[in-house]
Amino acid sequence: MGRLRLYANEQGDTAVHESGFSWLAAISLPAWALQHRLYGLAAVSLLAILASGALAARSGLGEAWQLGLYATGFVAGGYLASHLQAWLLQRRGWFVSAEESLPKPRPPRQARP
Amino acid sequence: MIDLGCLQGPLPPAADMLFSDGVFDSIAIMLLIAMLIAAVAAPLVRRRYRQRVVRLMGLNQVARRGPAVRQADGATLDSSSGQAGGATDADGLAALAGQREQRVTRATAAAWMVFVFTAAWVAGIDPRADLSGRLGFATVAGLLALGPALINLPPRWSRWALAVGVIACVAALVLMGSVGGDDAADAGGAEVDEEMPVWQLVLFALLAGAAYLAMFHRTLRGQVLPLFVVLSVGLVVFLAPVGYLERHAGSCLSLLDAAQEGSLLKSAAMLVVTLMIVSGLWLSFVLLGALARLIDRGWVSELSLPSVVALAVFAVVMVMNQLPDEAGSRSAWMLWTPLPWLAVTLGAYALALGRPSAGGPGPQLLVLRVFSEDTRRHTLLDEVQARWRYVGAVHQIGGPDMVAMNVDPYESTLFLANRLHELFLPEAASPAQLRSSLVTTPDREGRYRINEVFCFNTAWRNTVVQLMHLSDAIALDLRGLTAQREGTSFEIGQLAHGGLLPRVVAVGDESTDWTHVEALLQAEGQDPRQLKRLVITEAPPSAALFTQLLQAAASRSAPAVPAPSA
Repeated sequence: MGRLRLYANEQGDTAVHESGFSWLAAISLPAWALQHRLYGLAAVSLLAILASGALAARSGLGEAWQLGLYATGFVAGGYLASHLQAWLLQRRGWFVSAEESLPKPRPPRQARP
Repeated sequence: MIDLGCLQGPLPPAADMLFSDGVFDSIAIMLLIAMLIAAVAAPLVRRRYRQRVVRLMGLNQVARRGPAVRQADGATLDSSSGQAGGATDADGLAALAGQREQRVTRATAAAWMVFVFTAAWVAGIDPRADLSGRLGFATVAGLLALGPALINLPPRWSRWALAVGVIACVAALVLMGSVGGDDAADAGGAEVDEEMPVWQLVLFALLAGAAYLAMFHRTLRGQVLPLFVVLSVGLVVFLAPVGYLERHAGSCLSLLDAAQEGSLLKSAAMLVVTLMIVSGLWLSFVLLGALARLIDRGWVSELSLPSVVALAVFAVVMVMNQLPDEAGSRSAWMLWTPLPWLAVTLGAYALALGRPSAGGPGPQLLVLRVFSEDTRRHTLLDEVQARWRYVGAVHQIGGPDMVAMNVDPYESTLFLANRLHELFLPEAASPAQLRSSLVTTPDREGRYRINEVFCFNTAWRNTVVQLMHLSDAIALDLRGLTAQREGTSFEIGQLAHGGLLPRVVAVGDESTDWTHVEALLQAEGQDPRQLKRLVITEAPPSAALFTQLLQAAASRSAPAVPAPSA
């Protein structure tokens, strides 16, 4: 489970950001982007998915290659989505307004006598 | 590019069409499917909702936001707390609560009866319906409408109501399947052949009963309505154009189907499909927002709205089931029958309610409690808050224990739209900001609002102190309290420090560490005997707690006793 943060801008608008892997982004990056109100990213990623699908179909890639491409997109989307969101928000001047406390460090294990 | 000559091409066979059963039947089936999916998904959504609330509660503000800190939507309230309906003593308030409860109960009973009697008239859309057919139709309608009616009644009335409703639903569906005539169709709209085995009918009825249970269960129904709206509107907006094109676009859809993967035509079609899905979702959230505004403005309560929606779905499905199947025997007005049926029912409800009662802010109740995961402990608080709503507003800090019970369409919409954080106070709000976020006037049905105030970790302490001073009575649920419960210990200390003990009724049981409570009170210089206690041994005494809270609220005019300075 990633760390939850709340970004805000000077106008008081807020956006939730959660670090770590996102299953929704892995399955559908446009849907994840829509859910996070990143409409530009949603449109771009949708067009990119359609274009890559069309290219893959036209280039005559085998099923194994297509599956590999999909798996790469799945993993990359899931891992990169939260980084992308943070980057986009910071680029627009948003800042971290609230965040979860860091988990308490576990006490070191005692060496067995 | 696509050759538009396909518009003149042959239509696909009727049996292969999406709306082969007709538009009305197809929409009714979509509504029912949406209701079933919403009911099945509700427990999962509830779980996610609770998890999200817990995580947001754990946020700490590290930088202030801009000036426009948003508050939860809500009507502006009168900052002065008056007594509801002119009653000032505990007996008067209790009588007022009873009157208002009876008013809603009478109106609900009247609406239920009108729904049932009108059903006998609606049954006439099938010209073959004789007297027994009409009576059977009305009986099924009455059984199905039990659930929506019972939602609107006080919880203590409906303790066994849900079980009765589920049994009634199963019985109603079996009845529909058995008396539906030669070409009987079940409530789901699926064709039920004469050869359909009884076990299949019973299995379907049991599944529908489970869905019915979720629709009207106390902790699930708050999620079912928003999910149903999103799914049904999404389905209709997405599929209705497809159904229309099937009948009017010749063979063009078949050409699209047959287009090569990766072709421009296929990609464009996928883009259009995606945009239609997005449009459906967007429209569904717009509709949800409109429904939430109806509640915010007090036109309906979050209790009666799910009832109305459920009745509407039942009406559509029953009319679909009753309509004759023969081609040409259906006229357009028959398809609109659910509308007058529902309108007459709602009209009866509104008439029986009469004019809205006096709308001043009544005595306000604050519910403080240990955030217990024991659902049995929630029953007492739920019964008290449900009753208190007839005399005044109820406030509480939103926590993981009661969120599922108190979720309303607005909160649910924000959750589904990934905007739940907008409900949370990041830091201590000013008294004026806090007051403006609380709704303390009743809706048209005479119920006051349950105001859940959601706070980040950095905001709840100041907020709860403000709520204590704002409230006329405070229910302090100490069941399960131990010295490790720092939050509740803080609240007890603040109640003592502010000299607010006369407003408090503390509820405890064998698990309550009373010694710890007394130590906290003494640390603030207060006499522990000032704290009114209600110790629970067996059944939760909600009536006793309600009466004691009313007494505390009635004596609110007495000046608070401040804590002596150390």
